[in-house]
Amino acid sequence: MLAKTADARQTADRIVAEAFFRAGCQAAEPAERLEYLDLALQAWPDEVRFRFHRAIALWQTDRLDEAATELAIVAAAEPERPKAAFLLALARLALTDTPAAGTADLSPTEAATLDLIGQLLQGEAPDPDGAIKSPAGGSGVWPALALMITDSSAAPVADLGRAIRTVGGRGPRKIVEYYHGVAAMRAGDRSTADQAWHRAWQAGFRTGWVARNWQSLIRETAADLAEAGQWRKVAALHERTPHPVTDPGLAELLAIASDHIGYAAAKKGSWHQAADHWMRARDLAPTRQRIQNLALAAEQEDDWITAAESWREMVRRRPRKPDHPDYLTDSQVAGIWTHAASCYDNVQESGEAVTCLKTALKYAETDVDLRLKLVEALLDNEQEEAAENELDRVLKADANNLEALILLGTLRLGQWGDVRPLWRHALTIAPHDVRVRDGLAMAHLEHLSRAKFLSRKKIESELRAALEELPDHPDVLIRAAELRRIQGRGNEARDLLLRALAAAPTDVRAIGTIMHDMLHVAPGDEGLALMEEIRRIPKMLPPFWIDQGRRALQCAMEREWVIRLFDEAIDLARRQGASGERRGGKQDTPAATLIHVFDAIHNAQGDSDLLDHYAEIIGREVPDSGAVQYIEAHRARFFDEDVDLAKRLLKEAVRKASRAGEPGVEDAASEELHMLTLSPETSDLLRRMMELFPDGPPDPRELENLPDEFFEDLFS
Amino acid sequence: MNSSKTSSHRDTPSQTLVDPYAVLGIDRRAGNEEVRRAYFELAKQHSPETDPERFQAIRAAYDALRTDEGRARAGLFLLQPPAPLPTRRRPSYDLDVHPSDLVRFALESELATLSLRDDFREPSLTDE
Repeated sequence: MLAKTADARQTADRIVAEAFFRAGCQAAEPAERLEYLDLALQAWPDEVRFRFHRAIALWQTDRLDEAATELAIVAAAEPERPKAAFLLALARLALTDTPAAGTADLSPTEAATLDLIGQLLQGEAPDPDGAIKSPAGGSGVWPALALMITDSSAAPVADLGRAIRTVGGRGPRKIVEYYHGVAAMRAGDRSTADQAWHRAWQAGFRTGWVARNWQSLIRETAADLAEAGQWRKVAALHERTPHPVTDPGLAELLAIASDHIGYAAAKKGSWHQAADHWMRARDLAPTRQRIQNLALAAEQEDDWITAAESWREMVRRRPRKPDHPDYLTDSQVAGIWTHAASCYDNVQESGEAVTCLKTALKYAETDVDLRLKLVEALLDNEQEEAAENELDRVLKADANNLEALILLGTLRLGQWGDVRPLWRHALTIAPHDVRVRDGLAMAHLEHLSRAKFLSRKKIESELRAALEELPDHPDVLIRAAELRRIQGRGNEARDLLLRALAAAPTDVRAIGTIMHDMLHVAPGDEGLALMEEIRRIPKMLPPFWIDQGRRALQCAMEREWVIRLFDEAIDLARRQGASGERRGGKQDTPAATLIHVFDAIHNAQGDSDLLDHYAEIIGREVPDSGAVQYIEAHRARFFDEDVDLAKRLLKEAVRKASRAGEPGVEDAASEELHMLTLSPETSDLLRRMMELFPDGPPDPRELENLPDEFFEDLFS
Repeated sequence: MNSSKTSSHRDTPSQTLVDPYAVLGIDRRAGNEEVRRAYFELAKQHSPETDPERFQAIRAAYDALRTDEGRARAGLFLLQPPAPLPTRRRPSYDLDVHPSDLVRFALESELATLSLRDDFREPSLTDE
C-alpha cells in the first residue's frame, strides 16, 4: 500500500515536472524558461534533460560558469545526448580560451568549429583549407568573421548580407545582422549599418556594444537633423533608440528636440502637450530648466501635485557650488519651497504645505512673513500647538507684529487663561483694526461668560473695563445690557441696547440680538419704536423677522408680540413682492414667508391655535402657491402620522409651486419630501439639529462648547 | 484636474507666467539701468491716468525686476527657452569582433538545429 502511494506520488511529481518543462520550452525569454526549469527540477531532480536545457538557459542569461557545470553533469550522465559534449567543450573554451581536451565524442564538424573558434580567440588566421562546415550553414559567416578579426579594416558587407539569408534560426541570424552592420560601418555605409543594428536589436541581440554602437549612430543622425532644426524628426528617433538611452549626447539631443516642441506648444497655450514633451525631456536629461518648465506647465493645467513635486525636484537638483551658472541663492531656494507650498495649498494638502514652508524657513530664518505663512499652514493642518510655538517665535523677534498678535490672540480664545493682554497690546498698535477690536471684544465676553465664577464686584469691574476699552463695540454693549437686565437694571439695559444699535446700524446679526433683548427689557413702546427704526434699515428681509418671532416664541413672550413679529415678516414680503425686490436670485414671496413662519412655529413647538391662524391666512391669500398642500402635508405627517399621504401632498405642493412660480415654496416642499425619504431616526436628528442651529451648520467651536449631556440627549 | 482654490495669503501660482521682461520689452539679461529706462519710457507712454491697466502691468513688471534679487527670483518662474545644441563630438564606434559573440554564434547555431519537442516525454503511470 505504502509502495503504491510512493509510486503514485512519484508519478504525480513527474507529471508536474513535465508540465513545467513544457511550459518553459514555450517561454520566449531565457530568464522565464530558467524559472520553469528550476521548478521542473525541484519536482524531478534526477532528470538529466532538464539540466541540459537549464544549462542552455543559463548560458543565454550570461551565467556561463553555471552552464558549464550543468553541461558537465549532463555529459557525464548522458554521454550519448546530442550536442551535450560539444556545448560543454564550447563553454570551457569560452571560459578558459584554451581548446578543450577530450573531444573524441565530437563530430568532425563540431571539432572543426571548436578549432576555428580557438584560433580566432587567439587572434590567429584560420586554416584556409579547413573551411568550416558549421551546422549553422551559411558557411560565409565564419570566413567573414575570421577576416574581420585578422584585418581590422576588412568590411565583407556583401558576404555577410548573403549569409543573413542562409543562416537558419533567429538566434544566429541576429548576430550576423549585427556584424553585417559592423562591416557596413567599416565601409562608411551608415544607412546599412543603421538598418542592420536595428534588426539585430529588435531580434534581441542586446549586448553593451550593440547598444553603444547603435546609439552612437542614432546620435549622428540626430545631430544632423538638429542642426537643420528638424525637431520632430529628432524626437521621432526616440522610438527607434534602444531603451534606456545610455548615450548622454543622444539623450541630450532628444531632450533638446522635446524642449523645442514643448516650447512651441506652450506658446500656443497647449499646456498639456507641452508638459508631455517636457516630461520626456526631463526623463532623458533632467535639468533645472526642464523641470521648471514642467512645473509651470502643470500649474497651467491645474495639476498642482505634479507642479509641487516638480518644484521640489528642481530645488533638489540644483547645483551646490556657488560658481555654477545655475546656482540658487538661499533666498531663491526659500522662494521655490514657498511656491511649492502654495501649490499644495491649492489642493488642501496642508501637511505637504507645512513641510515645504518649514524647509523654506531653513533658508530664510528671519523672514517673518514666511513664518506667518507657516502658521497658517499649521492651522490648516490642525497643528495648533505648533502654530502657537511659531507665533511665539515671531513675537520674540518682533513683539509688535500685528498679524502674529491677532493670530495668537485668536488661537488662545477659548483656552484657559486671560488672552486680553495680547489683544490690548494689539489695540495699542492698531486701535481701529476691526479684527483687533472684535478679538478684544470676544476676549472680554469670554471672560464675562465665566461670570458665575466671579464675584459681583469683579463682574462690575470687568464690565467697566470692557466698556472703557471698547465703548462702541456692539457685542460688548449687548452683553453689558444682558448683565444689567439680569441685575434688574432695565433702564440701563435699554440704553446699552440703543447704544449697540447706534454702533452697528447695519449689522444684522447684532440688530437681531438687540431687538430680541429689547423685548425682554422693554417690550412696550420701546420695542415698537425699535421695530420702526429697524424697518428703515435698507435691505432687511423677511427671515429676520421670522427669526425674531421664533425667538420670541421660544422665550414664551407675549403672544401679541409673537404674532406682531411674524406679521412683520409677512408684511415685508408683501411690500417687497410689490416692488419686485429679490434676494440671491430667489424671492421671499408672501407664500414662502408664510410657510417659513408656519415651520418656525412648529419647530418652536408653538401651539396649534397659532398654526391654525397662519394656516387660515395661507388658505385665504395664497391658495394656489402650493403652500396649502405644504401645511396639509405637515398635518398628515405630525398629526395623522400618515407619511404616505404627506409625501403625496408634498409632491403636489412641488408641482403647484413650480406652476405658480414660487421657488421658495417649491424648495421647502422638496426638502421636506427628501426628509421623508430618510429613515425616521436620521430625519428626526436632522430636524433637531436644524432647530438648534436655525442659521445653518454651527461653528465647530460652538459644538465643542456644548456639554456632553446635549449629545446624549440628541442621540437618545 | 485638481481644484484651483487659491489662498489669499499665499502666492497665486497661476499668475506667475506673466513675463515681466516681455512686458517691459527688454532682454532677460538686462541690468538695473536698462530695466529702469524701459520702465520710465513705458510709463510715459501709458500713464496711470490714460491707461491704468497697462500702467499697472508695467509697474508690476518693474517692481519684479528692479533689483538683482528680484530678477533672480522672477527668473525662477518664467518659461525657459530650449537649451542650445551642445558642441558636436565625433562618435566612436566599437567595430571589433567580440570573442564572446563568436562563442555565442556557435551556441545559437547549435540551438537552431535543436528541437525541444524531441525531449518531451509522456510520464508513465506505472514505474518502468
